[in-house]
Amino acid sequence: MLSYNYVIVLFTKDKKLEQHFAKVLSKKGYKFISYSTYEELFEGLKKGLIKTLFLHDRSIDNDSSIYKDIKQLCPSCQIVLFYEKGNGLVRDAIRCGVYACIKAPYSEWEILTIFHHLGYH
Amino acid sequence: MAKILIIDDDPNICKVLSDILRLKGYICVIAHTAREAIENVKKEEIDLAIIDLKLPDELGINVLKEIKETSPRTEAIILTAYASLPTAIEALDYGAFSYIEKPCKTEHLLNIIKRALERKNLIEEKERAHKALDKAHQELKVLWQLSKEILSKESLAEIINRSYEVVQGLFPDANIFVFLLDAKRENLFPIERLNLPQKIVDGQRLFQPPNDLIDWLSSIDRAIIVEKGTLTALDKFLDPYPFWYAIPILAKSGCVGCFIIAFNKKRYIPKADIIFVNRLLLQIAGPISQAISMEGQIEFLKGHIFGRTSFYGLVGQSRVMQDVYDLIRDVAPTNATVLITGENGTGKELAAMAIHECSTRKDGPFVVANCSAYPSTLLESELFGHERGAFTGAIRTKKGRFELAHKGTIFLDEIGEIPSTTQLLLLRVLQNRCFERVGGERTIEVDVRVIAATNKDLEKEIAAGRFREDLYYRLNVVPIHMPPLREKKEDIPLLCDHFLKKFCKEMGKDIKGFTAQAMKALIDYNWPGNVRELENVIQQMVILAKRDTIDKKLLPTHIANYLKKDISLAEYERELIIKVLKECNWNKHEAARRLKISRSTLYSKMKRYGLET
Repeated sequence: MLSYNYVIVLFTKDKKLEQHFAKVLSKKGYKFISYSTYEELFEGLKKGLIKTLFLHDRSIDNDSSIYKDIKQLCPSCQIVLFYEKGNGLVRDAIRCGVYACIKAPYSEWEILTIFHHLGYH
Repeated sequence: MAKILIIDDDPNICKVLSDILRLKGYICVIAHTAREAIENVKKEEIDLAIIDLKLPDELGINVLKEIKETSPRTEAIILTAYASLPTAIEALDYGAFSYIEKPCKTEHLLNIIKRALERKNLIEEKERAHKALDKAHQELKVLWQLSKEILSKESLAEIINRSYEVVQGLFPDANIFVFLLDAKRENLFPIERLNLPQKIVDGQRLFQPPNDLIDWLSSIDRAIIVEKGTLTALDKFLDPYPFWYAIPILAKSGCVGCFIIAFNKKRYIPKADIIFVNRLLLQIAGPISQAISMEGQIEFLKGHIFGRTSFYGLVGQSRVMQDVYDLIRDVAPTNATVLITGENGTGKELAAMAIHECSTRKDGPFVVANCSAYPSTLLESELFGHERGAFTGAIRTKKGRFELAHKGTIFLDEIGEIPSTTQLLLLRVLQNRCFERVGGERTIEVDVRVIAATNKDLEKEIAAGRFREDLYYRLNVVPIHMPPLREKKEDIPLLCDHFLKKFCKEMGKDIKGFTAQAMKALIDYNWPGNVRELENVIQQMVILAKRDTIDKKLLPTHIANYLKKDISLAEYERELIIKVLKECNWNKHEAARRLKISRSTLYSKMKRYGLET
């Protein structure tokens, strides 16, 4: 069983999303780190500390190579995608091993259920 | 020349009278006694008897009586020297034409003889006319009855078989051969396909190659009867027969075939019988032409079927079903999640079972979960089970369908109906093959292959926000689409036979098949309920069937009404263009060639009907 000590990372440049995410996680007492640049993200992945990574589709390039890069640096990392519009993004993400995709407005119950499924209790 | 019998015991009178009559061109026979007279009447046909009232062995009146009894058509004149009113009345009562007293003037006698013979001729002519009328009436009656009987037959085989019996009945000593042209009138119709008696089929061997016969039949444009020696093209093939007649089956649209009546021995053949056959064939030519056309359509559809007729409970031989079988066979050995789409009644569950049966999990359970059958509150419990006390009424721990399907396959039917909370739970199971029972904390891991099915357009459901996109792609690893029945009509005859056998077995009935009209109706219907609807209809028809074939009268009302529905020319043209385009894989060049129109015409029609791709 995982505990909140494992590193949860949110990769976004969207402050509103960051605030929403923080609010939801605070209800369960989970802590997370927020990155907004690829350098920060890849550095964290290299250290192998990131167990669960929430990617915001608006903050990543619109191609699936990022998932391969993440898996290469940290194979055990579980990826969850926050997205606003599908347009093939979800299909590519699922095919590249993304665990789940949460569509805006990112409901609290949905985020928490996924945490539960990922083993956070 | 009329033959007159002179009955008189006086040889002089006989001589004088016979001399006069012979001079007038009559043939005379003389009898001096009653016995002699009767013998003559019995021996030969006498047109008129001139009877003396006083004969040595009998009264002339009695002779008249006997002559009329023996030969009612023989006219009689009484000639007597002892005329009296009572004998005159008696003679006329017994049918004498006249009663003359001797001596009489020759001219008067000759005049009466002439009138008597004229009356006889008139009566005979009248009788002949009556007979001819009777015969014509009888013939028409038989023709009408036979036509009616033959036209009530629904299949080409029945029509040909009954017509054959009628013709054979008229000419029991003849060999009857039946030849039919196919729907395009380019070849002989393969009559052996119709399950007709062997003797009918054997006739086809006569014309090898059949080109001359086909050319002749195609050239016929009016009702004719051809006999030996009048047509070289047929003579050379029918050479073994001393005499034969060929009678075409001439429909409005042209000649559709012929009957050949061939005799092994030369004999008198009543022309009227041959004409009768000609009339009969003219009467039934239209239905024969229609039946050939129907058989042609059925064969056309059968020609579009390939390979396997069935696959693990799925029935169909069409190209689309062969693709489904191939896909099932390829995907079955893997553990890949399969999403089966298709309208209701297309066999999605059968496809799922086929995947399970073909997989390495076939010895494990195949568990079906109909997601639309439970309210959302119960669905999670149904799928994942619950712990005792998890909710009101949960009096004991219950395993869910996923647990029951361990080491086997779970079939999630109507996946498009599940609520969003359950969708998220499913996403987890698909990803990790683990879950918790409702009210439970222990994570249960299962080894399950997931097959989901839906009749909904899940992409539309995603766009409407009712279905998770990630779950859709998780499920849709291998998509299998079950085609609706209207898109694989070539499978309908096969499916009908399959269900017919199934229900006959269940109900202990012996029904051989469907009439061509019934089958055509079943093919023409659009089957919104797909194979399941077809199965129900066949079951209903088998229940109601009282004969050994199912005819279209047994069709349910909604199908009969649908088929009666008027279709406009434009609708028909649109449907035809779609059908041909599909058959040609939307190759416009090929479609235009088949439709016998130019490509530019096809393009303009496609544009008009909104068929642009």
